[in-house]
Amino acid sequence: MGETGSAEVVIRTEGLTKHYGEVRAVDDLALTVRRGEVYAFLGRNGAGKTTTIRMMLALAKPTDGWVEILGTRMAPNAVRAFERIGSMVENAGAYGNLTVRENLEMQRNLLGLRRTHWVDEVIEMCDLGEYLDRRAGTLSLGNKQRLGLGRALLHKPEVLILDEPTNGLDPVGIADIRKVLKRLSSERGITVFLSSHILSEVQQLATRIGIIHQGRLLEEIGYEELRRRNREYLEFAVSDVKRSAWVLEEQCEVSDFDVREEGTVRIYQHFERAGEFNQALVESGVAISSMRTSEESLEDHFVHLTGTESEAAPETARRAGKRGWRR
Amino acid sequence: MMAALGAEFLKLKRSRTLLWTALVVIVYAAFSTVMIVALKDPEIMRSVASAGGSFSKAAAAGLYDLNWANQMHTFVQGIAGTWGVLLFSFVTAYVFGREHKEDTEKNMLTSPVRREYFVAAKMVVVACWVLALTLLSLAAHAAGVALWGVEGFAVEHVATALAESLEVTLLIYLTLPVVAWITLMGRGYLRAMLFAFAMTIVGNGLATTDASRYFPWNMPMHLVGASWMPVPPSGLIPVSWLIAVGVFVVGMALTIGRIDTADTTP
Repeated sequence: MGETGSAEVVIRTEGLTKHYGEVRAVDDLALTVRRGEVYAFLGRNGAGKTTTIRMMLALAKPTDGWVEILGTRMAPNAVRAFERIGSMVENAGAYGNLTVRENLEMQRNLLGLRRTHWVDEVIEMCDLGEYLDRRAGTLSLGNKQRLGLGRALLHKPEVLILDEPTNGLDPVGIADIRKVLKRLSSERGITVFLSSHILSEVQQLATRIGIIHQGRLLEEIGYEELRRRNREYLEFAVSDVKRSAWVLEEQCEVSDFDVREEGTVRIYQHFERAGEFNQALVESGVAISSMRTSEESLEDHFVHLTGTESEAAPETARRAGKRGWRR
Repeated sequence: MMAALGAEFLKLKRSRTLLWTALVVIVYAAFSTVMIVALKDPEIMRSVASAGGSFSKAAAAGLYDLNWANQMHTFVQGIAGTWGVLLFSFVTAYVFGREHKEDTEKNMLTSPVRREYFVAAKMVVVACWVLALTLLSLAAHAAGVALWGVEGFAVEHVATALAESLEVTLLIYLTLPVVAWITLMGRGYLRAMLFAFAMTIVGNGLATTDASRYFPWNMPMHLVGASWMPVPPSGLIPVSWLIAVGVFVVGMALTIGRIDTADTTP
Protein backbone atom coordinates (compact mmCIF):
# COMPACT_ATOMS: atom_id res chain seq x y z
CA MET A 1 0.00 0.00 0.00
CA GLY A 2 1.12 3.46 -0.69
CA GLU A 3 3.52 2.57 -3.50
CA THR A 4 1.26 3.90 -6.19
CA GLY A 5 3.23 6.83 -7.51
CA SER A 6 3.86 5.31 -10.92
CA ALA A 7 0.67 3.32 -11.17
CA GLU A 8 -1.96 3.98 -13.80
CA VAL A 9 -4.24 6.94 -13.15
CA VAL A 10 -7.72 5.55 -12.64
CA ILE A 11 -9.68 8.65 -11.67
CA ARG A 12 -8.78 12.09 -12.90
CA THR A 13 -10.69 15.33 -12.56
CA GLU A 14 -9.62 18.56 -14.17
CA GLY A 15 -11.07 21.97 -13.39
CA LEU A 16 -14.18 20.26 -12.04
CA THR A 17 -16.66 22.92 -11.07
CA LYS A 18 -20.29 22.94 -10.09
CA HIS A 19 -22.30 26.05 -9.39
CA TYR A 20 -25.84 26.19 -8.11
CA GLY A 21 -26.75 29.79 -8.82
CA GLU A 22 -24.37 31.84 -6.73
CA VAL A 23 -23.23 28.87 -4.69
CA ARG A 24 -19.96 27.27 -5.75
CA ALA A 25 -20.49 23.73 -4.57
CA VAL A 26 -17.27 22.52 -6.19
CA ASP A 27 -14.64 24.87 -7.47
CA ASP A 28 -11.88 23.99 -9.93
CA LEU A 29 -11.17 20.59 -8.47
CA ALA A 30 -8.19 18.70 -9.83
CA LEU A 31 -7.34 15.34 -8.37
CA THR A 32 -5.90 12.05 -9.50
CA VAL A 33 -6.35 8.63 -8.00
CA ARG A 34 -4.02 5.84 -9.04
CA ARG A 35 -4.72 2.15 -9.35
CA GLY A 36 -4.78 0.38 -6.01
CA GLU A 37 -5.09 3.51 -3.92
CA VAL A 38 -7.65 3.97 -1.20
CA TYR A 39 -8.40 7.66 -1.51
CA ALA A 40 -10.40 9.23 1.29
CA PHE A 41 -12.18 12.40 0.32
CA LEU A 42 -12.62 14.26 3.54
CA GLY A 43 -14.66 17.33 4.25
CA ARG A 44 -17.38 18.66 6.43
CA ASN A 45 -21.04 18.46 5.56
CA GLY A 46 -21.69 20.70 2.58
CA ALA A 47 -18.02 20.81 1.59
CA GLY A 48 -18.76 19.47 -1.90
CA LYS A 49 -17.97 15.77 -1.47
CA THR A 50 -21.27 14.37 -2.66
CA THR A 51 -21.51 16.84 -5.53
CA THR A 52 -18.03 15.79 -6.66
CA ILE A 53 -18.99 12.12 -6.50
CA ARG A 54 -22.22 12.80 -8.36
CA MET A 55 -20.26 14.49 -11.12
CA MET A 56 -17.83 11.58 -11.20
CA LEU A 57 -20.73 9.21 -11.78
CA ALA A 58 -22.49 11.45 -14.33
CA LEU A 59 -25.35 12.01 -11.91
CA ALA A 60 -24.73 15.73 -12.02
CA LYS A 61 -23.52 17.80 -14.91
CA PRO A 62 -20.38 19.84 -14.21
CA THR A 63 -20.62 23.56 -14.77
CA ASP A 64 -17.07 23.30 -16.00
CA GLY A 65 -14.27 20.74 -16.16
CA TRP A 66 -14.40 17.00 -16.59
CA VAL A 67 -13.98 13.63 -14.96
CA GLU A 68 -12.20 10.66 -16.47
CA ILE A 69 -12.47 7.20 -14.95
CA LEU A 70 -10.56 4.25 -16.40
CA GLY A 71 -9.85 6.33 -19.45
CA THR A 72 -13.48 7.18 -20.14
CA ARG A 73 -14.77 10.73 -19.99
CA MET A 74 -17.74 10.37 -17.66
CA ALA A 75 -21.11 11.27 -19.12
CA PRO A 76 -24.58 9.74 -19.04
CA ASN A 77 -24.57 6.37 -20.80
CA ALA A 78 -20.86 5.76 -20.20
CA VAL A 79 -21.92 2.12 -20.16
CA ARG A 80 -18.45 0.63 -20.63
CA ALA A 81 -17.10 2.58 -17.68
CA PHE A 82 -20.04 1.68 -15.45
CA GLU A 83 -19.36 -2.00 -16.13
CA ARG A 84 -16.06 -1.50 -14.27
CA ILE A 85 -17.23 0.89 -11.54
CA GLY A 86 -19.11 0.05 -8.37
CA SER A 87 -20.72 2.92 -6.52
CA MET A 88 -22.85 3.86 -3.60
CA VAL A 89 -23.97 7.46 -3.30
CA GLU A 90 -25.25 8.73 0.06
CA ASN A 91 -27.93 6.50 1.53
CA ALA A 92 -28.09 3.25 -0.35
CA GLY A 93 -31.47 3.04 -2.03
CA ALA A 94 -33.21 -0.28 -2.43
CA TYR A 95 -36.58 -1.48 -3.67
CA GLY A 96 -38.48 -1.86 -0.43
CA ASN A 97 -40.97 -4.43 -1.72
CA LEU A 98 -38.18 -6.78 -2.83
CA THR A 99 -36.10 -8.97 -0.56
CA VAL A 100 -32.37 -8.49 -0.13
CA ARG A 101 -31.67 -11.37 -2.47
CA GLU A 102 -34.13 -10.09 -5.08
CA ASN A 103 -32.50 -6.67 -4.99
CA LEU A 104 -29.11 -8.25 -5.59
CA GLU A 105 -30.45 -10.62 -8.27
CA MET A 106 -32.00 -7.69 -10.09
CA GLN A 107 -28.66 -5.91 -10.06
CA ARG A 108 -26.95 -9.06 -11.28
CA ASN A 109 -29.33 -9.19 -14.24
CA LEU A 110 -28.79 -5.52 -15.00
CA LEU A 111 -25.06 -6.13 -14.97
CA GLY A 112 -25.51 -9.02 -17.34
CA LEU A 113 -23.73 -11.42 -14.98
CA ARG A 114 -24.37 -15.09 -15.48
CA ARG A 115 -22.48 -16.24 -12.42
CA THR A 116 -25.12 -16.55 -9.71
CA HIS A 117 -22.52 -17.42 -7.07
CA TRP A 118 -21.25 -13.84 -7.22
CA VAL A 119 -24.45 -12.89 -5.37
CA ASP A 120 -23.59 -15.42 -2.67
CA GLU A 121 -20.10 -14.00 -2.43
CA VAL A 122 -21.27 -10.46 -1.69
CA ILE A 123 -23.89 -11.77 0.70
CA GLU A 124 -21.10 -13.39 2.68
CA MET A 125 -18.72 -10.47 2.30
CA CYS A 126 -21.27 -7.91 3.47
CA ASP A 127 -22.68 -10.16 6.16
CA LEU A 128 -26.19 -10.14 4.72
CA GLY A 129 -26.91 -13.84 5.20
CA GLU A 130 -29.50 -13.52 7.93
CA TYR A 131 -31.44 -10.83 6.05
CA LEU A 132 -31.64 -12.54 2.68
CA ASP A 133 -35.39 -13.08 2.71
CA ARG A 134 -36.22 -9.84 4.45
CA ARG A 135 -37.81 -7.09 2.38
CA ALA A 136 -35.35 -4.26 1.91
CA GLY A 137 -37.96 -1.81 3.18
CA THR A 138 -37.78 -3.38 6.63
CA LEU A 139 -33.99 -3.20 6.94
CA SER A 140 -32.24 -0.84 9.31
CA LEU A 141 -30.24 2.01 7.81
CA GLY A 142 -27.01 0.17 8.53
CA ASN A 143 -28.17 -3.00 6.82
CA LYS A 144 -29.40 -0.98 3.86
CA GLN A 145 -25.87 0.38 3.61
CA ARG A 146 -24.54 -3.17 3.59
CA LEU A 147 -26.97 -4.03 0.82
CA GLY A 148 -25.85 -0.95 -1.10
CA LEU A 149 -22.24 -2.00 -0.71
CA GLY A 150 -23.10 -5.51 -1.83
CA ARG A 151 -24.80 -4.09 -4.88
CA ALA A 152 -21.72 -2.00 -5.65
CA LEU A 153 -19.40 -4.98 -5.29
CA LEU A 154 -21.47 -7.50 -7.17
CA HIS A 155 -19.61 -7.30 -10.49
CA LYS A 156 -16.15 -7.19 -8.91
CA PRO A 157 -15.47 -3.65 -10.07
CA GLU A 158 -12.01 -2.23 -10.61
CA VAL A 159 -13.01 1.07 -9.05
CA LEU A 160 -15.25 1.56 -6.08
CA ILE A 161 -16.73 4.99 -5.44
CA LEU A 162 -18.46 5.30 -2.11
CA ASP A 163 -20.11 8.33 -0.60
CA GLU A 164 -20.15 8.14 3.18
CA PRO A 165 -20.35 4.34 3.19
CA THR A 166 -20.46 4.06 6.97
CA ASN A 167 -23.43 6.36 7.31
CA GLY A 168 -25.90 4.86 9.76
CA LEU A 169 -23.66 2.00 10.82
CA ASP A 170 -22.86 1.19 14.41
CA PRO A 171 -19.18 0.96 15.47
CA VAL A 172 -19.09 -2.76 14.72
CA GLY A 173 -20.61 -2.15 11.32
CA ILE A 174 -18.08 0.58 10.62
CA ALA A 175 -15.26 -1.78 11.51
CA ASP A 176 -16.77 -4.48 9.28
CA ILE A 177 -16.99 -2.16 6.29
CA ARG A 178 -13.43 -1.05 6.91
CA LYS A 179 -12.34 -4.67 6.97
CA VAL A 180 -14.15 -5.41 3.71
CA LEU A 181 -12.61 -2.43 1.98
CA LYS A 182 -9.14 -3.29 3.27
CA ARG A 183 -9.56 -6.83 2.01
CA LEU A 184 -10.76 -5.66 -1.40
CA SER A 185 -7.88 -3.27 -1.68
CA SER A 186 -5.19 -5.73 -0.65
CA GLU A 187 -6.56 -8.92 -2.25
CA ARG A 188 -8.15 -7.63 -5.41
CA GLY A 189 -6.26 -4.39 -5.85
CA ILE A 190 -9.49 -2.45 -6.17
CA THR A 191 -9.11 1.30 -6.31
CA VAL A 192 -11.33 2.86 -3.69
CA PHE A 193 -12.51 6.45 -3.61
CA LEU A 194 -14.58 7.14 -0.54
CA SER A 195 -15.88 10.27 1.09
CA SER A 196 -16.37 10.90 4.73
CA HIS A 197 -16.57 13.72 7.20
CA ILE A 198 -15.15 11.63 10.01
CA LEU A 199 -11.40 11.30 9.75
CA SER A 200 -11.06 8.57 12.33
CA GLU A 201 -13.21 6.34 10.13
CA VAL A 202 -10.92 6.56 7.15
CA GLN A 203 -7.40 7.26 8.39
CA GLN A 204 -6.69 3.60 9.15
CA LEU A 205 -7.78 2.64 5.69
CA ALA A 206 -6.71 5.40 3.34
CA THR A 207 -3.47 5.52 1.45
CA ARG A 208 -4.19 9.11 0.53
CA ILE A 209 -6.50 11.73 1.92
CA GLY A 210 -7.83 14.75 0.08
CA ILE A 211 -9.36 17.49 2.19
CA ILE A 212 -12.11 19.51 0.56
CA HIS A 213 -13.60 22.61 2.07
CA GLN A 214 -16.12 24.99 0.53
CA GLY A 215 -15.74 23.22 -2.78
CA ARG A 216 -11.97 23.53 -3.00
CA LEU A 217 -9.35 20.86 -2.48
CA LEU A 218 -7.25 22.26 0.34
CA GLU A 219 -4.67 19.57 0.78
CA GLU A 220 -3.74 16.06 -0.23
CA ILE A 221 -1.89 13.93 2.28
CA GLY A 222 0.06 10.95 1.02
CA TYR A 223 0.59 7.57 2.61
CA GLU A 224 3.92 8.35 4.31
CA GLU A 225 2.68 11.61 5.75
CA LEU A 226 -0.49 9.91 6.87
CA ARG A 227 1.42 7.17 8.59
CA ARG A 228 3.68 9.69 10.26
CA ARG A 229 0.86 11.94 11.38
CA ASN A 230 -1.19 9.11 12.67
CA ARG A 231 1.54 8.04 15.07
CA GLU A 232 1.98 9.30 18.57
CA TYR A 233 5.17 11.17 19.19
CA LEU A 234 7.22 13.07 21.70
CA GLU A 235 8.37 16.42 20.40
CA PHE A 236 11.30 18.53 21.60
CA ALA A 237 11.78 22.12 20.46
CA VAL A 238 15.55 22.38 20.44
CA SER A 239 18.28 24.94 19.76
CA ASP A 240 20.29 22.60 17.53
CA VAL A 241 18.52 19.90 15.57
CA LYS A 242 21.68 18.32 14.15
CA ARG A 243 23.26 17.83 17.54
CA SER A 244 19.93 16.58 18.90
CA ALA A 245 19.74 13.96 16.19
CA TRP A 246 23.26 12.82 16.99
CA VAL A 247 22.50 12.60 20.73
CA LEU A 248 19.31 10.63 20.18
CA GLU A 249 20.92 8.21 17.78
CA GLU A 250 24.30 7.70 19.40
CA GLN A 251 23.66 8.17 23.10
CA CYS A 252 20.03 7.21 23.54
CA GLU A 253 20.04 4.61 20.74
CA VAL A 254 16.75 5.85 19.34
CA SER A 255 16.19 5.06 15.69
CA ASP A 256 12.61 6.04 15.06
CA PHE A 257 12.60 9.81 15.10
CA ASP A 258 12.65 12.64 12.63
CA VAL A 259 14.01 16.12 12.51
CA ARG A 260 11.66 18.84 11.44
CA GLU A 261 12.45 22.06 9.71
CA GLU A 262 10.95 24.29 12.37
CA GLY A 263 13.59 23.30 14.92
CA THR A 264 11.86 20.34 16.46
CA VAL A 265 12.64 16.70 16.83
CA ARG A 266 9.93 14.08 16.98
CA ILE A 267 10.51 10.73 18.63
CA TYR A 268 8.09 7.91 17.90
CA GLN A 269 9.22 5.32 20.44
CA HIS A 270 10.24 4.84 24.07
CA PHE A 271 7.99 7.61 25.44
CA GLU A 272 8.67 6.30 28.94
CA ARG A 273 12.27 7.50 28.54
CA ALA A 274 11.26 11.13 27.99
CA GLY A 275 13.19 12.26 31.06
CA GLU A 276 16.31 10.45 29.93
CA PHE A 277 16.17 12.05 26.46
CA ASN A 278 15.70 15.45 28.04
CA GLN A 279 18.72 15.00 30.28
CA ALA A 280 20.92 13.68 27.49
CA LEU A 281 20.10 16.58 25.20
CA VAL A 282 20.72 19.19 27.90
CA GLU A 283 23.99 17.56 28.93
CA SER A 284 25.11 17.70 25.31
CA GLY A 285 24.55 21.44 25.22
CA VAL A 286 21.21 21.47 23.44
CA ALA A 287 18.78 24.00 24.83
CA ILE A 288 15.24 22.71 25.05
CA SER A 289 12.55 25.33 24.88
CA SER A 290 9.61 22.94 25.08
CA MET A 291 8.69 19.31 25.24
CA ARG A 292 5.29 17.89 24.45
CA THR A 293 3.56 14.74 23.45
CA SER A 294 1.53 14.61 20.21
CA GLU A 295 -1.16 17.17 20.64
CA GLU A 296 -2.00 17.74 17.04
CA SER A 297 -3.31 14.68 15.40
CA LEU A 298 -4.33 14.53 11.78
CA GLU A 299 -7.83 15.14 13.00
CA ASP A 300 -6.75 18.37 14.66
CA HIS A 301 -5.06 19.34 11.46
CA PHE A 302 -8.28 18.69 9.58
CA VAL A 303 -10.26 20.81 12.00
CA HIS A 304 -7.62 23.51 11.78
CA LEU A 305 -7.74 23.50 7.99
CA THR A 306 -11.48 23.60 7.70
CA GLY A 307 -12.20 26.04 10.52
CA THR A 308 -12.81 25.89 14.22
CA GLU A 309 -15.08 23.27 15.70
CA SER A 310 -17.54 25.89 16.84
CA GLU A 311 -18.08 26.78 13.19
CA ALA A 312 -18.98 23.22 12.36
CA ALA A 313 -22.39 22.48 11.03
CA PRO A 314 -24.80 21.14 13.64
CA GLU A 315 -24.78 17.72 12.02
CA THR A 316 -21.00 17.63 12.07
CA ALA A 317 -20.97 18.60 15.70
CA ARG A 318 -23.59 16.04 16.55
CA ARG A 319 -21.80 13.22 14.84
CA ALA A 320 -18.48 14.37 16.17
CA GLY A 321 -19.84 14.24 19.68
CA LYS A 322 -21.33 10.82 19.12
CA ARG A 323 -18.35 9.19 17.53
CA GLY A 324 -15.48 11.08 19.08
CA TRP A 325 -14.32 13.87 16.84
CA ARG A 326 -11.05 14.05 18.71
CA ARG A 327 -9.05 11.06 19.52
CA MET B 1 -32.91 -3.66 -23.13
CA MET B 2 -34.12 -7.06 -21.94
CA ALA B 3 -32.21 -6.63 -18.70
CA ALA B 4 -33.92 -3.28 -18.09
CA LEU B 5 -37.27 -4.81 -18.94
CA GLY B 6 -36.71 -7.72 -16.56
CA ALA B 7 -35.70 -5.31 -13.81
CA GLU B 8 -38.73 -3.10 -14.33
CA PHE B 9 -41.14 -6.03 -14.08
CA LEU B 10 -39.35 -7.42 -11.04
CA LYS B 11 -39.77 -4.07 -9.29
CA LEU B 12 -43.53 -4.69 -9.26
CA LYS B 13 -43.24 -7.92 -7.32
CA ARG B 14 -45.32 -7.67 -4.13
CA SER B 15 -46.14 -4.09 -5.09
CA ARG B 16 -49.02 -2.73 -3.06
CA THR B 17 -49.55 0.01 -5.61
CA LEU B 18 -50.39 -2.64 -8.18
CA LEU B 19 -53.08 -4.01 -5.86
CA TRP B 20 -54.37 -0.55 -4.97
CA THR B 21 -54.91 0.38 -8.60
CA ALA B 22 -56.75 -2.91 -9.18
CA LEU B 23 -58.87 -2.16 -6.13
CA VAL B 24 -59.75 1.31 -7.45
CA VAL B 25 -60.97 -0.22 -10.71
CA ILE B 26 -63.03 -2.86 -8.91
CA VAL B 27 -64.56 -0.35 -6.49
CA TYR B 28 -65.44 1.94 -9.41
CA ALA B 29 -67.09 -1.00 -11.16
CA ALA B 30 -69.02 -1.79 -7.98
CA PHE B 31 -70.27 1.78 -7.70
CA SER B 32 -71.27 1.76 -11.36
CA THR B 33 -73.37 -1.34 -10.88
CA VAL B 34 -75.08 0.32 -7.91
CA MET B 35 -76.36 2.78 -10.52
CA ILE B 36 -78.27 -0.13 -12.01
CA VAL B 37 -80.40 -0.20 -8.86
CA ALA B 38 -81.17 3.47 -9.38
CA LEU B 39 -81.99 2.93 -13.04
CA LYS B 40 -84.39 0.15 -12.08
CA ASP B 41 -86.30 2.53 -9.84
CA PRO B 42 -88.84 4.52 -11.93
CA GLU B 43 -89.07 7.22 -9.22
CA ILE B 44 -85.36 7.98 -9.42
CA MET B 45 -85.41 7.97 -13.20
CA ARG B 46 -88.32 10.40 -13.21
CA SER B 47 -86.44 12.78 -10.90
CA VAL B 48 -83.36 12.60 -13.15
CA ALA B 49 -85.48 13.29 -16.21
CA SER B 50 -87.12 16.28 -14.56
CA ALA B 51 -83.92 17.70 -13.06
CA GLY B 52 -83.13 19.64 -16.21
CA GLY B 53 -79.75 20.23 -17.82
CA SER B 54 -77.64 17.73 -19.74
CA PHE B 55 -78.54 14.80 -17.49
CA SER B 56 -82.22 15.18 -18.37
CA LYS B 57 -81.34 15.48 -22.04
CA ALA B 58 -79.23 12.34 -21.75
CA ALA B 59 -82.10 10.52 -20.06
CA ALA B 60 -84.48 11.67 -22.77
CA ALA B 61 -82.04 10.42 -25.42
CA GLY B 62 -82.20 6.98 -23.86
CA LEU B 63 -78.64 6.95 -22.54
CA TYR B 64 -79.84 5.67 -19.17
CA ASP B 65 -82.10 2.90 -20.47
CA LEU B 66 -81.22 -0.25 -18.62
CA ASN B 67 -79.74 -2.71 -21.09
CA TRP B 68 -76.38 -4.39 -21.82
CA ALA B 69 -75.57 -2.09 -24.72
CA ASN B 70 -75.90 1.03 -22.57
CA GLN B 71 -74.15 -0.51 -19.59
CA MET B 72 -71.16 -1.60 -21.62
CA HIS B 73 -70.96 1.79 -23.30
CA THR B 74 -71.16 3.54 -19.94
CA PHE B 75 -68.20 1.44 -18.83
CA VAL B 76 -66.10 2.68 -21.77
CA GLN B 77 -67.20 6.26 -21.06
CA GLY B 78 -66.04 5.78 -17.48
CA ILE B 79 -62.49 5.14 -18.68
CA ALA B 80 -62.64 7.97 -21.20
CA GLY B 81 -64.02 10.67 -18.99
CA THR B 82 -63.73 9.72 -15.35
CA TRP B 83 -60.89 7.54 -14.17
CA GLY B 84 -58.78 6.65 -17.20
CA VAL B 85 -56.59 9.74 -17.43
CA LEU B 86 -56.24 10.04 -13.65
CA LEU B 87 -55.48 6.42 -12.85
CA PHE B 88 -53.23 5.76 -15.84
CA SER B 89 -51.34 8.97 -15.10
CA PHE B 90 -50.91 7.82 -11.52
CA VAL B 91 -49.52 4.50 -12.73
CA THR B 92 -47.04 6.36 -14.92
CA ALA B 93 -46.09 8.78 -12.16
CA TYR B 94 -45.52 5.84 -9.82
CA VAL B 95 -43.38 3.86 -12.27
CA PHE B 96 -41.19 6.87 -13.05
CA GLY B 97 -41.35 8.61 -9.67
CA ARG B 98 -40.63 5.73 -7.34
CA GLU B 99 -36.93 5.77 -8.22
CA HIS B 100 -36.63 9.23 -6.74
CA LYS B 101 -38.88 8.45 -3.79
CA GLU B 102 -37.04 5.24 -2.89
CA ASP B 103 -33.63 6.76 -3.55
CA THR B 104 -32.85 4.21 -6.25
CA GLU B 105 -32.52 6.72 -9.08
CA LYS B 106 -28.74 6.90 -8.75
CA ASN B 107 -28.50 3.08 -8.71
CA MET B 108 -30.44 2.91 -11.94
CA LEU B 109 -28.47 5.69 -13.64
CA THR B 110 -25.09 4.20 -12.71
CA SER B 111 -25.99 0.75 -14.01
CA PRO B 112 -24.29 -0.26 -17.24
CA VAL B 113 -27.53 0.04 -19.18
CA ARG B 114 -28.36 2.90 -21.51
CA ARG B 115 -30.75 5.31 -19.84
CA GLU B 116 -33.22 5.35 -22.73
CA TYR B 117 -33.63 1.60 -22.29
CA PHE B 118 -34.95 2.25 -18.80
CA VAL B 119 -37.44 4.78 -20.19
CA ALA B 120 -38.57 2.32 -22.85
CA ALA B 121 -38.80 -0.52 -20.32
CA LYS B 122 -40.84 1.63 -17.95
CA MET B 123 -43.23 2.56 -20.74
CA VAL B 124 -43.67 -1.13 -21.55
CA VAL B 125 -44.50 -1.77 -17.90
CA VAL B 126 -46.99 1.11 -17.94
CA ALA B 127 -48.55 -0.30 -21.13
CA CYS B 128 -49.00 -3.74 -19.57
CA TRP B 129 -50.31 -2.27 -16.33
CA VAL B 130 -52.95 0.00 -17.92
CA LEU B 131 -54.00 -2.76 -20.30
CA ALA B 132 -54.49 -5.10 -17.36
CA LEU B 133 -56.53 -2.46 -15.53
CA THR B 134 -58.73 -1.93 -18.59
CA LEU B 135 -59.39 -5.65 -18.95
CA LEU B 136 -60.01 -6.03 -15.23
CA SER B 137 -62.44 -3.15 -15.35
CA LEU B 138 -64.31 -4.67 -18.28
CA ALA B 139 -64.55 -8.00 -16.49
CA ALA B 140 -65.73 -6.37 -13.26
CA HIS B 141 -68.37 -4.30 -15.06
CA ALA B 142 -69.62 -7.22 -17.08
CA ALA B 143 -69.83 -9.33 -13.94
CA GLY B 144 -71.75 -6.57 -12.13
CA VAL B 145 -74.22 -6.11 -14.97
CA ALA B 146 -74.78 -9.87 -15.20
CA LEU B 147 -75.22 -10.06 -11.42
CA TRP B 148 -78.09 -7.57 -11.48
CA GLY B 149 -79.83 -9.49 -14.23
CA VAL B 150 -79.83 -6.73 -16.82
CA GLU B 151 -81.51 -7.86 -19.99
CA GLY B 152 -80.30 -7.75 -23.57
CA PHE B 153 -77.00 -9.58 -23.29
CA ALA B 154 -75.11 -10.18 -26.51
CA VAL B 155 -71.47 -11.05 -26.99
CA GLU B 156 -71.38 -8.26 -29.53
CA HIS B 157 -71.93 -5.63 -26.77
CA VAL B 158 -69.01 -6.93 -24.76
CA ALA B 159 -66.82 -7.19 -27.86
CA THR B 160 -67.68 -3.63 -28.85
CA ALA B 161 -66.91 -2.43 -25.33
CA LEU B 162 -63.60 -4.28 -25.44
CA ALA B 163 -62.61 -2.72 -28.76
CA GLU B 164 -63.68 0.75 -27.67
CA SER B 165 -61.99 0.50 -24.29
CA LEU B 166 -58.74 -0.63 -25.94
CA GLU B 167 -58.93 2.32 -28.30
CA VAL B 168 -59.60 4.70 -25.43
CA THR B 169 -56.76 3.16 -23.40
CA LEU B 170 -54.42 3.59 -26.36
CA LEU B 171 -55.39 7.24 -26.71
CA ILE B 172 -54.72 7.87 -23.04
CA TYR B 173 -51.49 5.86 -23.20
CA LEU B 174 -50.22 8.14 -25.95
CA THR B 175 -50.39 11.06 -23.50
CA LEU B 176 -48.53 9.26 -20.71
CA PRO B 177 -44.92 10.07 -21.71
CA VAL B 178 -45.76 13.71 -20.96
CA VAL B 179 -46.78 12.61 -17.47
CA ALA B 180 -43.52 10.67 -17.18
CA TRP B 181 -41.55 13.77 -18.13
CA ILE B 182 -43.40 15.92 -15.59
CA THR B 183 -42.76 13.27 -12.95
CA LEU B 184 -39.02 13.34 -13.65
CA MET B 185 -38.98 17.12 -13.74
CA GLY B 186 -41.02 17.38 -10.54
CA ARG B 187 -39.13 14.53 -8.85
CA GLY B 188 -42.30 13.00 -7.48
CA TYR B 189 -45.93 12.24 -8.08
CA LEU B 190 -47.59 15.50 -7.04
CA ARG B 191 -46.99 17.71 -10.08
CA ALA B 192 -47.75 14.87 -12.45
CA MET B 193 -51.06 14.19 -10.73
CA LEU B 194 -51.96 17.88 -10.64
CA PHE B 195 -51.27 17.97 -14.36
CA ALA B 196 -53.47 14.90 -14.96
CA PHE B 197 -56.23 16.41 -12.86
CA ALA B 198 -56.02 19.70 -14.78
CA MET B 199 -56.15 17.84 -18.10
CA THR B 200 -59.22 15.91 -16.97
CA ILE B 201 -60.96 19.16 -16.00
CA VAL B 202 -60.03 20.88 -19.26
CA GLY B 203 -61.01 17.78 -21.20
CA ASN B 204 -64.45 17.67 -19.60
CA GLY B 205 -64.83 21.37 -20.29
CA LEU B 206 -64.13 20.84 -23.96
CA ALA B 207 -66.21 17.68 -24.19
CA THR B 208 -69.10 19.09 -26.22
CA THR B 209 -66.97 21.24 -28.51
CA ASP B 210 -65.25 20.41 -31.77
CA ALA B 211 -61.94 21.54 -30.29
CA SER B 212 -61.87 18.37 -28.23
CA ARG B 213 -60.87 16.27 -31.22
CA TYR B 214 -57.58 18.21 -31.32
CA PHE B 215 -56.91 18.02 -27.59
CA PRO B 216 -55.25 14.68 -26.74
CA TRP B 217 -56.59 14.47 -23.19
CA ASN B 218 -60.13 14.87 -24.47
CA MET B 219 -59.91 12.68 -27.54
CA PRO B 220 -61.08 9.55 -25.66
CA MET B 221 -64.23 11.34 -24.58
CA HIS B 222 -64.71 12.70 -28.05
CA LEU B 223 -64.45 9.17 -29.37
CA VAL B 224 -67.05 7.52 -27.12
CA GLY B 225 -68.97 10.42 -25.60
CA ALA B 226 -69.84 11.03 -21.98
CA SER B 227 -72.65 9.58 -19.95
CA TRP B 228 -73.96 13.09 -19.23
CA MET B 229 -73.59 14.23 -22.86
CA PRO B 230 -76.62 13.55 -25.09
CA VAL B 231 -74.67 14.52 -28.22
CA PRO B 232 -73.54 11.34 -29.96
CA PRO B 233 -69.77 11.15 -30.34
CA SER B 234 -68.63 12.24 -33.79
CA GLY B 235 -65.39 10.25 -33.76
CA LEU B 236 -61.83 11.28 -34.35
CA ILE B 237 -60.29 12.47 -37.58
CA PRO B 238 -56.86 11.45 -38.91
CA VAL B 239 -55.39 14.73 -37.63
CA SER B 240 -56.49 13.72 -34.12
CA TRP B 241 -54.41 10.55 -34.33
CA LEU B 242 -51.49 12.49 -35.75
CA ILE B 243 -51.64 14.88 -32.81
CA ALA B 244 -51.93 12.01 -30.33
CA VAL B 245 -48.93 10.21 -31.79
CA GLY B 246 -47.06 13.53 -31.93
CA VAL B 247 -47.70 14.07 -28.22
CA PHE B 248 -46.37 10.57 -27.54
CA VAL B 249 -43.21 11.18 -29.58
CA VAL B 250 -42.58 14.58 -28.02
CA GLY B 251 -43.26 13.16 -24.55
CA MET B 252 -40.81 10.30 -25.10
CA ALA B 253 -38.17 12.69 -26.45
CA LEU B 254 -38.59 15.00 -23.45
CA THR B 255 -38.44 12.09 -21.00
CA ILE B 256 -35.33 10.58 -22.57
CA GLY B 257 -33.76 14.02 -22.83
CA ARG B 258 -34.49 14.66 -19.19
CA ILE B 259 -33.08 11.35 -17.98
CA ASP B 260 -30.00 11.77 -20.18
CA THR B 261 -29.13 15.17 -18.79
CA ALA B 262 -30.69 14.72 -15.37
CA ASP B 263 -28.98 16.57 -12.59
CA THR B 264 -29.99 14.33 -9.75
CA THR B 265 -28.41 16.44 -7.06
CA PRO B 266 -31.10 16.91 -4.45
